[in-house]
Amino acid sequence: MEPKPEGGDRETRLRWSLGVLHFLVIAAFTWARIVRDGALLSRMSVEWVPYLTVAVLLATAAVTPLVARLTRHRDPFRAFARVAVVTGVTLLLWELLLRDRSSWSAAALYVWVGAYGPLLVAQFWVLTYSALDPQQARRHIGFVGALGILGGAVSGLMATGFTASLTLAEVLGLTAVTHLGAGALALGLATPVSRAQEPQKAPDGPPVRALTVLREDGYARLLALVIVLGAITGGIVDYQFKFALQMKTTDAAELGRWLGLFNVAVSLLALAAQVVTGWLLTRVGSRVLAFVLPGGVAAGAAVGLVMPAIWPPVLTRLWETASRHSVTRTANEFFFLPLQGERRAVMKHASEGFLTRGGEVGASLLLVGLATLHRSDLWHLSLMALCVAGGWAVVLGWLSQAYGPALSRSLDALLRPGRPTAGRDEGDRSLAVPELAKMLRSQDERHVLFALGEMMSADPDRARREAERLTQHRSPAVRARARRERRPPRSAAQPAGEVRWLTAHPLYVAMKSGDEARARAACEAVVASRDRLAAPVLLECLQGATRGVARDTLVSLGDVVSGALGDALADPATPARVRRDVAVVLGRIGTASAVAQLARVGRDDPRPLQSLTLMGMNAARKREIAFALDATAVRDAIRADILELQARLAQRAALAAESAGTTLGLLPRALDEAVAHGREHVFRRLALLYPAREMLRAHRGLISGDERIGAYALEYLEATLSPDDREMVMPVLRSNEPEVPSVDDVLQSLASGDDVWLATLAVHAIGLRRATHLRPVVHAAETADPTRLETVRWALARL
Amino acid sequence: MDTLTTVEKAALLIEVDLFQEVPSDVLAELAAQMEETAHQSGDVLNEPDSADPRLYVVIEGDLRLTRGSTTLGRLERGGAFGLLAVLGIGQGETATALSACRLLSISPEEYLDALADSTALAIANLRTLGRRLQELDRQLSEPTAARADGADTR
Repeated sequence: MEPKPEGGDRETRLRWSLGVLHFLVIAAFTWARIVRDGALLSRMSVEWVPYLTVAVLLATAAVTPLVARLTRHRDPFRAFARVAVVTGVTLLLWELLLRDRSSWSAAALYVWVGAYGPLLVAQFWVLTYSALDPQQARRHIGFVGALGILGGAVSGLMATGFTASLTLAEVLGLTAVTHLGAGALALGLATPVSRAQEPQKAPDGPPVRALTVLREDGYARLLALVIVLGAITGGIVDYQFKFALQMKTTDAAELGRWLGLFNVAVSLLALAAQVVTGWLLTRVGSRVLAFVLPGGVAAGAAVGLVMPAIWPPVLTRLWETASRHSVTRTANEFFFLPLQGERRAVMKHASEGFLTRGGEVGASLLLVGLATLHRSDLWHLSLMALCVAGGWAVVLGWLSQAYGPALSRSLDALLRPGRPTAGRDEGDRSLAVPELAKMLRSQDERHVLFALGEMMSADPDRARREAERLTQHRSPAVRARARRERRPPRSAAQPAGEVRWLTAHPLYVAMKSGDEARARAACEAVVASRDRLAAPVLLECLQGATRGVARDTLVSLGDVVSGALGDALADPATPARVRRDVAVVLGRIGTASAVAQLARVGRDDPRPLQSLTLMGMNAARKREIAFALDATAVRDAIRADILELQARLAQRAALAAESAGTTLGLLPRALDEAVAHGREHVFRRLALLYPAREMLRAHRGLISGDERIGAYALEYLEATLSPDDREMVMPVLRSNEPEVPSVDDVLQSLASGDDVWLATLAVHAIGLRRATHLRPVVHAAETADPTRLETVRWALARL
Repeated sequence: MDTLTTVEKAALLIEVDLFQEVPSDVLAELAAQMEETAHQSGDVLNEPDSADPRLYVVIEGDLRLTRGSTTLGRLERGGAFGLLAVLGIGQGETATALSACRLLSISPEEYLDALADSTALAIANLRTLGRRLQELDRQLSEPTAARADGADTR
């Protein structure tokens, strides 16, 4: 995939549209919360809050399916518009109810705002992430988030002013109008943006349920746990804050002013945090940023333990709210990327719905328990907040580790749309294996074959045990597969016995006799006697009719001959074709010592040979064979590959700028191939340091030609590579604007370069162009390689 | 007329549908194994029971491909025939030169060696054969459809 240029008019319009929409959503929600908290604290004791939180959960449980029904089978913009309009209308009704100064209306409003507000915000983010791919998200999400925070600050300031002249109920009316405005704006955006983005078609099957996603996907469960723990922490911090606020005042207007100012402070802090979020995301990544919130809460709670006064809870809440609406929201959104399509929307709703509400109820239960023990004071609340924030941070650490592999599985699902879900792949084997075992009892032989294959990757020992039983299966295909899988993995060969050099000579005679039966019999004898001295004879026979038999015999000899094969592989005097065969044979032997021999091929060796050895080592890594590897040498090779790749990209760009392409012969095509090979080598080497399967999948994603899939691949690399490796690799994968040299410079550089084929084609191009001023370069290019020599002579004749 | 260099042969092979997806360096190795021959009008190449089957690629000139008395098509520059023969599958077609022509050719042993060397070459051949099967299937299901001609590489 060619990297996508950043920006563009359409992208700019989209960025502003989303930003303005976010501004309206957050402004409306801030007003709603100010009215909600002001009405409650002026009419009821804060001790009711835990019980009201339970009511919020019940209301959320009732509202979530309604929101799902409102949004299902609609593009995210229209879905958002419907939710915004419907909730706006309900707020108009609440305004009338709130005019009655009863406690129950304040309590009911508290419950309603708690139920619909987060769902509306979640719907906005579903819309945003459907409109942006991961790379666009990285570029624009900070801006969109910042406008939302600005909305919070402006609405907080306005609320502080309003409370002098308007009642809380009237502020609620303003909120309702804002909802309707946001809905109208989203509807206006729906057609152009939807057309431009071509959002995924809504699935026709039954709706995906959050519980199904949680049951099937280990990553989603971990994500849910993080959300629940975050909500518990938030609930405790919020209660602590309200507890402190009510200690200060119970006057509605005073509370309104206080809450307004608090929201302004929150927004300003969030805005400041948001400004640096983009930079921080690039520097440290989303996974580290996610720790800002639990870390800050834990620190605030620790201060509260030392100084149990009003200000630590207020400042902790300030930090919690500000970072939840800025850095943490941005960072957490990335954790949803591994979930695709409807599963992501479902989990977003679940996150803002029953998971958060459930966490808040958990917090309520803890708070009620604390009150029951008569420990509901600021010090004990701080202690509780510290403990829960600590637990949250730990689980967040687990989620961070699971993010990269989950993203890779998601990429796999994108690359193979036929696969049912990304969640049932190899990263979740602990879940998958019992299910696969059940599948092995299926009456359908296709199920059995599939399950056995999957289990071989997930749990080979269990698969072999199951295969024993399946050798009696009624299906011949299953019996055959079971017999194959039952074979134990190839073990290291036994040490050779006595040296029997004489056996080697008859082997050669048999191989060259032209009698295939005789040759095979001789090879079987060699394998039976584990004769390591047969290796040179077999290497001699790696051509013509005996080639296949010789290769198979070397593979069967296994580790007995791997040292000799390694010597042949590393020896530049060995014919190129034999070296490539040896690389294949070592890869097929596949033991740790055989694979280690592959590492003897260096960057100076021919490119096809490097490819074969890397493929062999990657295959071994995928089979989890532990072999000796020098990580520093691998990184050095990656660095050299990157430099070469940059040079090839620049050379290719120079030739592309040349209008007379016909005078360059095969060179442009060969450079394209060199670029593709260079990029592949970088990934194959990375696959030696990082999870091989996932890294190679990222490479497939990057070259798929699909921008969306390519963006996921880049996001996987961002999430997985160490900072140093990221800095080394990412620029060349992203940039498509190399410094372009002149065509003559390219031809000169290639003709005198190490790559024999490119050098040959450069000389050929010089001849084609009759570039007499480059004659000295052609003279200097004379070597022993017959094709290059032939081309040099041809070019000189033309010059 | 000058014989082709290896690079020129490789450039010609890229025009052949069998080799269009094969990396150029692999084609150069294959090209180095290929022999260039000249034929007169009327020469018969690759008869059904030929003792020396080869894969041919046309450099210049015209050839006619027949099965029995039925003409299957004509081959020009970049056309290839004899793939099934070098893969060891009996071939029922005969190629006859219609004019003086130059061809590149390779023996079964060398071609099979090249296939064993390069998965890219093997995959490209499989894809070509697959496309032909699809085309045949299409023709069988649409008997009136016009049959493709020209670049037949049997």
